[in-house]
Amino acid sequence: MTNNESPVIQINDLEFRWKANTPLVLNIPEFSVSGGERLFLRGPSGSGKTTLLSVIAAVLVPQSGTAVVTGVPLHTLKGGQKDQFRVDHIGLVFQQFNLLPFLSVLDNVVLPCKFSKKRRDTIRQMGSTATDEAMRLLKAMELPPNLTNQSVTELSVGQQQRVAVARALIGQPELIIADEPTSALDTDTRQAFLDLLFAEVQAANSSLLFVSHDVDLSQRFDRAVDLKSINLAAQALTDANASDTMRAAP
Amino acid sequence: MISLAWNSIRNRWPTALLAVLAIAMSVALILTVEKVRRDARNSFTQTVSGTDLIVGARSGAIQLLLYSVFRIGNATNNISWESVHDIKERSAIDWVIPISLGDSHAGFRVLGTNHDYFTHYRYGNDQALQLAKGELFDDVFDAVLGSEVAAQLGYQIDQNMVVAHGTGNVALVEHERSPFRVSGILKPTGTPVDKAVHVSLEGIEAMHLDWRNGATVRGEGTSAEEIRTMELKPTAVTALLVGLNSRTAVFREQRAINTYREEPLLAVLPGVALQELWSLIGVAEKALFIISLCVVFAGLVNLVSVLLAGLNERRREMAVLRSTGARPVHVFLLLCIESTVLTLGGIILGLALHYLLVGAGAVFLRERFGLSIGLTLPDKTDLMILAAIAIAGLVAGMLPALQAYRKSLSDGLSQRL
Repeated sequence: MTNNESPVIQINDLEFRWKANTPLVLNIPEFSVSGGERLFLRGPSGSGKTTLLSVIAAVLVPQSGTAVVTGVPLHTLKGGQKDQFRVDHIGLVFQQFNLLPFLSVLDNVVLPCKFSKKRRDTIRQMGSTATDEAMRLLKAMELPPNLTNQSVTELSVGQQQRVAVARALIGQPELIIADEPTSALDTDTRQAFLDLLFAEVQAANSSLLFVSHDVDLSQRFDRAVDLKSINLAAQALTDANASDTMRAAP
Repeated sequence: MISLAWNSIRNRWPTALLAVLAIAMSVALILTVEKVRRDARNSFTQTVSGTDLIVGARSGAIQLLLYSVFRIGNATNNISWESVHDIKERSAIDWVIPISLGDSHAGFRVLGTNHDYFTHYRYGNDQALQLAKGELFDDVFDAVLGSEVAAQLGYQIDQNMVVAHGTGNVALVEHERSPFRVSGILKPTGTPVDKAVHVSLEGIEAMHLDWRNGATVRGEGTSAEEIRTMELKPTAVTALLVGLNSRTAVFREQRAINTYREEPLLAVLPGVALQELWSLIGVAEKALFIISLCVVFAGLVNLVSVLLAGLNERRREMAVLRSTGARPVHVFLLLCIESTVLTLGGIILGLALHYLLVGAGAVFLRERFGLSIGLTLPDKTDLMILAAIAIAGLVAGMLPALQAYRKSLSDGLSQRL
């Protein structure tokens, strides 16, 4: 379905600020990610990373400019359509706390299928069921099968992140966005995590937008982009306002 | 959504349990208070039942009720025996219970009457007086004790007792020459009957036989044996309880007694007078109700605070839910369902607690106060209270849900702490 030639993300003249009369947080003249591409987006804290991801995930609405994601011009979406768009086309992995503590591992992975008919349909076309597909992904992410029905609170951080990847991938959304998914992991598990992530992203024929400030990982990606180089507002911010960086630091 | 909410509650069971308990307590309390309030009013307004008219010397309706039924205060005047006779002879009148008050025993009122009292007196839901032990008075010096008199003074059947003139706790002079004997003890009724010493009208006369101007005349003592041989006739009584052949005649008979020419008399309908009296002391009842409303309010505030307090730590969950396609409406619904489940759980547990309380308390109340409180299905008022609590819980749950809705809108996918 995804045409590798057309970009999965195409951003033009994007401007975003939290409130009127406050400095711009995002000012991106042009940014694109091609279909099937694995992009490493580097940016220190406070450079507008999370804000950019929120715009791409149709959570935040930019004041001006256009963002076309997986072929959908985001400004045409209204209210609930944005949530539907998000779950249909994008799989999200956060830095940590990705999982709902009150659901089992398996239920956490299946969760997007409850909200997305598109993901359910994709799984059905593959000749599988949501549960089976979740089991397959968990196995592919090298999680012990006896963990699947346990509470997520019993998992290690590395295991939690792999469950989150399985959830992001279920039903093969076109775009996987990972927001510093490795920052809570140690160096060894980091590489192993990337191996699994790459393999499954490729298998699902998805694009990957991987955000991190860990430059060591960047050489494994198709392309690495520094957010400061595309976001003019970040240049102004980090130069002029160091305290802002401190505030947003995790 | 419902299974999500259920799982979420299960994961937070300690706080959820607290919220449920808080609501259960308030539900149980308000239902129990309501029930006690209602049953207390019922048993109060049925302190005397089956009596159509209460007749006394002309005074106020409430005063007449107070001294004739509740034995509080004193009569302004007596009814002469001739008047009693005249009333008794009226065709519409079925029975008449004479009541003669004015004496006391160890702080309890002594009530002079005849066997009609035990035959016709009714209280509560048409309940007659019953003997727990012994038998009714037969001799001039026999006395039938109310249950509380017997219990407090520790009197047994056949025990001798001395009756004093006057109604104070410490009577001025005791009728030492008139030794009474306990012939029977009544079962508890939860009415002022429990606090009375019942003797025959002749017994009252016998007590006052040697009294002239409030003092015994030295050497004039008449022995009990002599008194028994004398023909004692009551000259006056304090009040009459009247039963009619047909209730339809009640207003006619009331007017007839009120306009009786020989003596100024007053007849009142006990039901009306009791309602009037209850409206005076009903303030306490209202206060009780207001307090239980406050407890319900506190329970709901607790529910909201439990949900609101949990909200901050749940902002991450909200972000995760949103990232997997949950709309803000879903987040709102999730919390609404949670609070509804908690409220309903509280109501069910509260009902169970209420029945447990009433079931356990009924035994105690019946034995101690003779107040009969039955296990009944929740009536219309109870159901309305429960519905109001359910709705209030729903509305209260909307507050944190709305907060979560707004936060999930503003936080988006960022996992702020």
